[in-house]
Amino acid sequence: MISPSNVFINCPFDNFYFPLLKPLLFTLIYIDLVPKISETSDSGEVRLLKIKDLIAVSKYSIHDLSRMEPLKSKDYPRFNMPFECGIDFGLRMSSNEFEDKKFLILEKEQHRYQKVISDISGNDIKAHRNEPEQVVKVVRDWFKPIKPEIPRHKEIWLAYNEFEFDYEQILLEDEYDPKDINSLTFSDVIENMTAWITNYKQKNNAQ
Amino acid sequence: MTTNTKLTEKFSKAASTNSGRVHVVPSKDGWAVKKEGAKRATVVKTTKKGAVKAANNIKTAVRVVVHKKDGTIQKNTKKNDKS
Repeated sequence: MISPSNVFINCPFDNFYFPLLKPLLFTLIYIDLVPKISETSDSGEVRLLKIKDLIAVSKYSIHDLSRMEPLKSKDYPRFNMPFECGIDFGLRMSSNEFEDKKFLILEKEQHRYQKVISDISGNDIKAHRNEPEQVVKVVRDWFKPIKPEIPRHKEIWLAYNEFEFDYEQILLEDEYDPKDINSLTFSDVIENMTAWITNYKQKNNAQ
Repeated sequence: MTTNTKLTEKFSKAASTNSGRVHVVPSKDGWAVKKEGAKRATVVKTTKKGAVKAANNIKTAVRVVVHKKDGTIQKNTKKNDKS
C-alpha cells in the first residue's frame, strides 16, 4: 500500500556521497517523513525486488543523478541511479494506483541532465551543487507546498550540524568510523537519527 | 561494540542533554554561531575566524565546536582554548 509519508531514495552508496546522504535523510525525518532506502548488503535480484517494493510503497521519490560518472577515470559509469529512476517512472505509468507519485530529481548542476538524460525534462529537477546545506534547502523547499508547516531550511541545517557532532562522537566512542558509509546499516542510521530528532524536538519544545 | 538499541539510547540521550556547547556552523551567509538546542543562530559572521571569536565570547559557552563546510567536525575545544 502506497504511503504519503514514505520517500524512496535512489542515490549512490559510497563514502564520497555520504556527506550528502546524511543531511538528505536528516531533512526527511525532521519534516516527519519516512526515508525508504535499500540496504547495500542485498545482492542482485533480491536487491532489485526490494527496490521495486520500496518504490511501490512510497508516494515520493528522490532520485539523485549527480554521480553517474565513474568515481575514478578508468572505472565504468554508474547506471544504477538512472536505472532505478526508470523503474520508478515505469511503475508510475503502469497503473492508476501510482499516478499520483511525485519525483524530485537531484543533480549537481541545474542543466546537466539535458545532456545525459533529456527524457526526464519537465520533471522537478534541482541542483545541490554537491553542498550538504543545499541538499537540505532543495529537499525542504520541494516539500514546502505539500507540507506547509515545515520549518525553515536554516533550522534544519543548524540542527543537522548538532546531530553530526553527536554522530561522530558516539560512533568513535563505539569504535566505528563515522566517515564510512558501511559502519552502520541504513536502517540503523535512520533509527538513530529518528531517536535523536525526536528528543531534540522535545527538548526544544520544552524550552 | 554496542548493540543498535544501546547506540540509539546514546543518540536519544545526546539530543536530550545540554552540555553548553556552542557550534560554529557553515551557512549560506558566512558562519553561524549556534548555542546547542537553539533553533536560530545567535549571530552570523562573514568569516570563520570572526564566528569562532563570537562563540568564545558567549558567557554560557563551555566548549566551542567548529564545523567544516560539509558539517563534519574540524575542532572541539574548551572555550577560549587556543590550540
